[in-house]
Amino acid sequence: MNDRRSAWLLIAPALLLVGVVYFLPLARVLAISVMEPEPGLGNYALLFTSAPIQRVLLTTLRICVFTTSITLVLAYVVAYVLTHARPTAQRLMMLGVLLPLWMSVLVRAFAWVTLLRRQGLVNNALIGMGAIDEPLALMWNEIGVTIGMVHYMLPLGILPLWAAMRDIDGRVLAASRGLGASATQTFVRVFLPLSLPGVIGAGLLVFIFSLGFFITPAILGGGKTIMVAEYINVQIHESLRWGVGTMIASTLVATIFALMFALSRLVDLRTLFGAK
Amino acid sequence: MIKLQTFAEDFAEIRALGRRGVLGGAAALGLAGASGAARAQAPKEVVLCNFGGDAVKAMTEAFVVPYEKKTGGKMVIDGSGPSNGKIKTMVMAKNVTWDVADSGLGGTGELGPAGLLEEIDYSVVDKNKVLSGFAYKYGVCNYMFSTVMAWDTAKVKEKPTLADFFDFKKYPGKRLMRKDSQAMYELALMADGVPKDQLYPLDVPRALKKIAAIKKDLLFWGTGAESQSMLRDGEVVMGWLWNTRATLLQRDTKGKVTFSFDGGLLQPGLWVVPKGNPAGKQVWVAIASMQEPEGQVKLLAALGNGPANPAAAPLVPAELKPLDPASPDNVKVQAKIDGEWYEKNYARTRQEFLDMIAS
Amino acid sequence: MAGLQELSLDGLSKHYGTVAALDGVSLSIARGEFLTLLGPSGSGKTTMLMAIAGFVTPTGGRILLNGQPIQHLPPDKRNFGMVFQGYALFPHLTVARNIAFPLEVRGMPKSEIDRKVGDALGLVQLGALADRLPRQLSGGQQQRVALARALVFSPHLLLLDEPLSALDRKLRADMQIELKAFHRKVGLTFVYVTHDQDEALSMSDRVAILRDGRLLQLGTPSELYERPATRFVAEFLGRSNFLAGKVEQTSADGFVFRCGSELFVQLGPERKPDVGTAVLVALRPERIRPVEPGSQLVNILDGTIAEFSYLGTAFHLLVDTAVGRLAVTVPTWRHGAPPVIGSKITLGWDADASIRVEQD
Repeated sequence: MNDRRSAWLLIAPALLLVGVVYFLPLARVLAISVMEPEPGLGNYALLFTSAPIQRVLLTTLRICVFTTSITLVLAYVVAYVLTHARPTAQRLMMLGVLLPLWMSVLVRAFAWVTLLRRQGLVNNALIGMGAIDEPLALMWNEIGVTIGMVHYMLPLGILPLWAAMRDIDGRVLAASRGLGASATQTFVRVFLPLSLPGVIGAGLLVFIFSLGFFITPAILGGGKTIMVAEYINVQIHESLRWGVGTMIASTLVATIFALMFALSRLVDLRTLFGAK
Repeated sequence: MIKLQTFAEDFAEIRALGRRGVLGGAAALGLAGASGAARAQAPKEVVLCNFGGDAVKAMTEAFVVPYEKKTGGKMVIDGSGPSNGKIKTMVMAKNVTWDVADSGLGGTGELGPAGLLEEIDYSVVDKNKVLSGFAYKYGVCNYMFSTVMAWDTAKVKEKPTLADFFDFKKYPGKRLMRKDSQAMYELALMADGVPKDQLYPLDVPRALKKIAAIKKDLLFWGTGAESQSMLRDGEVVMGWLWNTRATLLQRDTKGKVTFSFDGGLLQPGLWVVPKGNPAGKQVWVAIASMQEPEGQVKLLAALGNGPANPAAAPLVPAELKPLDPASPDNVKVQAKIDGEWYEKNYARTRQEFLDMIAS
Repeated sequence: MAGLQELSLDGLSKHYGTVAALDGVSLSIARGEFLTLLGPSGSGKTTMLMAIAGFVTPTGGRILLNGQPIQHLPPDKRNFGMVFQGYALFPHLTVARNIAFPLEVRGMPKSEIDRKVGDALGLVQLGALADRLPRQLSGGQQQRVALARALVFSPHLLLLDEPLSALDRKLRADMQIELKAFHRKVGLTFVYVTHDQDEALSMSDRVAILRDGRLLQLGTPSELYERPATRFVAEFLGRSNFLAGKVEQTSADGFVFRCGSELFVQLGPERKPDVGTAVLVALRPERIRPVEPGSQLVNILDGTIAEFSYLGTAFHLLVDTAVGRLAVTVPTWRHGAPPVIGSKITLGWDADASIRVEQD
């Protein structure tokens, strides 16, 4: 009993800090969303009445779902190879995974511009090989945004997957083979289910990060792919419709919490984020 | 960083591209840091906020030095960028640290009606020292700039008209617009046949319809740098962008991309004063001092911004005249933006424009 | 269960670069036999088991099942049951699904799977825990699930890799008995790996002793204990004293050898050495007994008690003698009073109590 009380005392400063720097501003955002321009739920009604806001949310959702799915598939392959590589190769591959994380998102987006634009490396190479006559529209649309976002998200997807796969007991896989399961059966029946917490963790992480994505869509979307983060930014900084901006932000936060809650019913979140 | 830039934000960045922009930022920090100290003495220190980069250095030479020499007061530049959101936050928190901010119609249009700006005191600031039509209730012209059409001469052989911007049979290829309604409505309406002196009140539905019709072939720029690279890299064949960026493009591509003030829209950069500014009335003295033509010509030479004061025209060197958006020859061929209309309608019509893009 | 199979290894080798984990091992495992592979770590016992299971590809030799080579087959094509160290139960599947696994991957009809799983659960007495997850079971229960899972698909034989090493001492002893009884019940060939000599002696029909990838000796537990072929085997299985000497005289059923100033007689079935050759003789501590000075026993040695310890059923003595320090185990009932350190003692043993071993 006494131990418990001193434990609370010990974490009190941290709780206070989290409360002040995190929950207080969040509460203010929430407050503005129901106070401006006038008290009430008028801003939230826009979710149901404003076609542009619905479209922005829908675009965001679509891009995030695509980005998350593609990232998960690619990250799974990379993490699988990484887990099964020899230690030296593993270190080199890890460097390859982490290196982009230290590069500015802006630099990476512009690197994609040089690759994907009409006279970019990809289109020029394809035309040079005679594969196409007209440059493909790889950028200034949702394809470009998705490519850029998947690239940014890959390390975020790979790391939780790798951690989950690394924890899978090799003897369990051997047991499966020994009990008569082929390599494919072993993957489907044992490896995949055991890596599922990693898949969910990586998916959640990538999806949440994608929801708030801003720079990549702005650069690779040709100005036409307006995702929710950019929309909020314009509301806050330019149009000064703070009520609308904070309403969408609050909705976003609520969505994320709801997602986390739903997932916590499915898997132990502590295992996802390495706390256990 | 990447978002919808205002003109003031962009021009601050322009020269920084060519040289190292770090110095300007450091100077801004140093100057801003000193700002608290000398506050007790009269006249009160005036804090000018702009968007940093080389605009700090240019404005120091053009405005700060003459002001301090003339009045004995002190003026410092804070280059941290006076976005509408920041001004609103400051005023609402009653913690205003800026006296005068480099803004535009986007500032007066959104901030003014919301009661976040001081009304300009025209008993100190001289209305006659700005081009007629550019002195408003909540903002007074600081410099002039234009939105012009630029084109890729490799794809568009003859000088195009605004109507050609919408003619894909004549000139296939993508077109470029700004991700903001200001000037886009005007140019679209002129392309649709509205004479340049009968634009206002803007027929927004007509402009939106005109633009929406070609949306699939449009790209939108958010920052000045983006507008420049899209034309330079051949991603688009024609584009509507700021004269400062068009000038740089023409120079950098050795004329492959060129532009014209014909059919452009002349717009003001505006000084605005946040409600409850710390220097009080001294800010009007500072703004009045910045109306002197000599400083404004320095700004044109440094950054390409046109002088707000018509009296500056004779002082502009001959080689700069064709690039000066406010030179009499260039003013003649352009439409002039109507600030009063924007004060009343900007907030709503800009949102409609964004929603049109998002849909 | 399926008809009993016969497995044999023929010159089986596994080399990692220049290191031989397994070096030309040949042996035959009889049908229904409980064979234990025993050796210290690094002896190659696990490599051997993994080669039989198919997880290690041999670099030489053959593995024959009823005369057919199978060393090229992947593990899932060999139809061997295996119990892993730590059991390797599938953590995401219930007990019943764990046991059903080998049947499911063989595409067996659902009804048949249910029946067989039910039988297997009954066999290991875990019917009540069918819907638990492995982490909700005790070590002993997990062990039984692992067994049921390895047996449910009627494998040709059962491979067990140190299955008891994760259990505590008491449970381990219980499980040894349970496992042995289980072997008798299912009548399947068991190949069992352990580094624990007691486990090997108490459970096995035969034990194969391995060292540095080589098979040193194969035999029943008593053969190995009573007639170790080498010094290593004698030391590895229980404790032993060693007397090094030179043969003085031979006869039809034994020889006399000199050890320092002492002469000893050794009778036994092993090959007779020539006179003058160096021999090594192993003598178990419990085969030595204290005797009256001047006893008629053929092998007598005087000494002084240097150390002793009390083990409940016996005293363990260390006695300094002319041929060095000897370990002697004396049942408590034979030793009237507790020994006194420094007191004189006369030791004796029968001529057939010792055994000649190879120096290795």
